[in-house]
Amino acid sequence: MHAQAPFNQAFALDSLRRISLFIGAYGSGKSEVSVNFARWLTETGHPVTLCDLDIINPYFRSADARLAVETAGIRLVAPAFAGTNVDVPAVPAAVYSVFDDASRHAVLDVGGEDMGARVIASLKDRLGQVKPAPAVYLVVNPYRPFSSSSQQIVQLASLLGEAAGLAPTGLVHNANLLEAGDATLLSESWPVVREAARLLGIPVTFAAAMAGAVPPDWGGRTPEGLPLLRLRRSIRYFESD
Amino acid sequence: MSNRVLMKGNEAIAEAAIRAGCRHYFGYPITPQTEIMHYMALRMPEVDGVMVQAESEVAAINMVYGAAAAGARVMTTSSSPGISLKQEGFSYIAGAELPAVVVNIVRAGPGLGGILPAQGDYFQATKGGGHGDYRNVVLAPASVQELYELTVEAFNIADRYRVLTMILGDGTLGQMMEPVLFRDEEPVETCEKSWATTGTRGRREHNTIQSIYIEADALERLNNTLQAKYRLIAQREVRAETVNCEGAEIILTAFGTCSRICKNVIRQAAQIGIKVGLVRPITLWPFPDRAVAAAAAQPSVKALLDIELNAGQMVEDVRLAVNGIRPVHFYGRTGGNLPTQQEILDQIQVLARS
Repeated sequence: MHAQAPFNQAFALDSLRRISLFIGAYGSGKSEVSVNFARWLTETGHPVTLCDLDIINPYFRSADARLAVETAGIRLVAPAFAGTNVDVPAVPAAVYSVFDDASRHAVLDVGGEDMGARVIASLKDRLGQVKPAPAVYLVVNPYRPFSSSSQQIVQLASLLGEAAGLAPTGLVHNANLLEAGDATLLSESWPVVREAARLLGIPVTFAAAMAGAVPPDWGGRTPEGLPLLRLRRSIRYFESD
Repeated sequence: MSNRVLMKGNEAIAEAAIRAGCRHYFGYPITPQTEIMHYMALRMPEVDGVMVQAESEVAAINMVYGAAAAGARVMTTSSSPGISLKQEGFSYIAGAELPAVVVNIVRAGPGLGGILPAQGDYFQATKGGGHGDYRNVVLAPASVQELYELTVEAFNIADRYRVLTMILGDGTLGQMMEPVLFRDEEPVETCEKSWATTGTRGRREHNTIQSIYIEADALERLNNTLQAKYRLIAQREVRAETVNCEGAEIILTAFGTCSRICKNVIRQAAQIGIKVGLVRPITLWPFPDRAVAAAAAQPSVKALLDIELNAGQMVEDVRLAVNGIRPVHFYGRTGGNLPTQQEILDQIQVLARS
């Protein structure tokens, strides 16, 4: 399983928490970032549970990456109805296993907007007992509607933080136009994200970009000095698009 | 920052409507298109527009009727079961000759069915669905960029002919995300709506919007006017994309999401020595009979294969267009499933060998 060198070998965080929550607006890239973050953890030797807690949207979610996820040795917890015709907002009971088994890391992929983040509020008591406190990452793609200015990102952070009952502890700068993106996106949108982080008083913890959009010689950091998580697309609409 | 934005299909529809001058949106939520309402709720106040979550789909379509009668650019959106509820309103809108844009992000049916993508509403969209002799223009985009561009165009077509214009998408198109490149200026046509009920201010005779006619001859005159208009639309507004058709052995026909799968199959088929072409109707009504017939008539063509997310609906129009000169086969998936490339390739190989 770990025969190959880790894909994100050079990626490292100063302060890695056992439980990482990813929240964000619809289509901010939460699921792709969550899946790739979980893959990075497992490739660097940490046992990982990935929880698909998206009760908002039944389409295109981290459970859609089931094969890639399970092949990578990640334990997936997903609603029983994920990927089916049933539109039932149910949180899988198995999510509580992440509190009981302190030997595993946990990545929680939370549904979009404030409605999605509200799921976190239901786990607040258990999350509050976890030491050190879980990381709450707000995934921001400045190329998405309603996320393209610092003010909009600050509003989003406040809306989602309030719904989740947990304020974001860091931003993830996911400058992304999928396959149409290139290395200029991160630098072009950096001032917007940096300013949002300043206004919120939290760091931009790391950046994420499609692996094909950033040059290999950047290694594990962007030119701005952020840890860079290279994303391998795991959720596709069609087989070879 | 650049004018490229990463958008969901549903968001692109909503933004396109606003850019096309739509300031009145009436809807009722249903998966997989609710992001349109969500986007409208956020954006309409920014442009002094109105988003109303109506008490039902029936109410929403009648609000559309009212706003259109007053000359507004107006839109409603829904998904299959919700569109069924709106059919009476569509017929009234046709009878009253009102311009309106309706989006159907189709989900799997029949009945409550499911929330996954389908194209099972082709018959309903193109052959009526409501009562009486009427037609809706039906546009079938196949990408998020095209959802944006065709939604703008749908408003122009609706105003140009005073017809209901429908965008027929599916759950995949509505939910998928792709970059959209926005134009600096939209090709928005402005039509004078001298027929609209905008208030006379005592300066003109009042306008009447109606679909009821007491006299048989008067109603027949309306029907004749409508049919003349539909003939004009059929002459002027047909759109189709043809891919790799020249000298092809097998011609695929597919719209929307299916056409994208077919384009990938064309490349795969070429690798095993089978030349496959595709006719993709962009207008489902008026149907591009000529493009289909021309592709089919080539001596190289052995057969046509129609691919849909239903049990075989557009294939009837393909057969009418081909008119017996070549065999027309069908392969479809239902229930919310998408055909795989291999499934389509297997069908092609059987036809190419025969």
